[in-house]
Amino acid sequence: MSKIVRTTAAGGVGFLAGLLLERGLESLTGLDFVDGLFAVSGSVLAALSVNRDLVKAAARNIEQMFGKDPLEISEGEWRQFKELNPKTAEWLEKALKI
Amino acid sequence: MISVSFLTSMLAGLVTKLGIDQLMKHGYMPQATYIKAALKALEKDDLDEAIRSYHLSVRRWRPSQRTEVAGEIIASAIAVRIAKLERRVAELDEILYPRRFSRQFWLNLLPRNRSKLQALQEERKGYEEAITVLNKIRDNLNQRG
Repeated sequence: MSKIVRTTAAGGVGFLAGLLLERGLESLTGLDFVDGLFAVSGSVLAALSVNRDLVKAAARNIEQMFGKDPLEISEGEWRQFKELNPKTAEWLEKALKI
Repeated sequence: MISVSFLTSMLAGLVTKLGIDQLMKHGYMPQATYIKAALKALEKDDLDEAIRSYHLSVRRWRPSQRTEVAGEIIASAIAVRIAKLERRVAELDEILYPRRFSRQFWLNLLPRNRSKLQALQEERKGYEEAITVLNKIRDNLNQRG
């Protein structure tokens, strides 16, 4: 048990060291070093939630285009959106089972 | 005194961190990771980051329906911004370049309005520049996407 704790602590310290190094390099070089270790678990979660994110982003675009909530747009406005964004509209129709 | 095993584990953590950074940076992570990052950047209005993540999503992975939709969403977000700016430019043009002998035409000749018109000219210039930048960003998305 104590070995697990020690290994976890050491791994954590290593991660923190990496984080510090990343920030240090970033401030020294101005380069953009992409966020690290959490990307592993993040990528799994991302696969699960990316569909929801696509729907949300599309809804935001509709809101910006017509200045109203996507649920309130008319059929004509939907057709206009569909004409301009055929793939997104198709995706939304499938995702929301319209 | 720090033990060798502690240092080894620490080094392993460090190497993992740097390794994953590199994988992420060069497009080796799952496609969904990059699509998600692109949409998150778009939400924050960071178009450059959104396009960078979008390009990474198709750099090593075959384009999928999701990447196509994400690309279209980004392009649409840029188009909405351009349209808004163009509307504002058209509004300013009505003030700055009115029809001859219209009310605005005479108002523009008054000396007290000169500084206001100058400020509007500057504002218009700023919008024109922003439109040019957005068009370049959109071209960048289409070219490499």
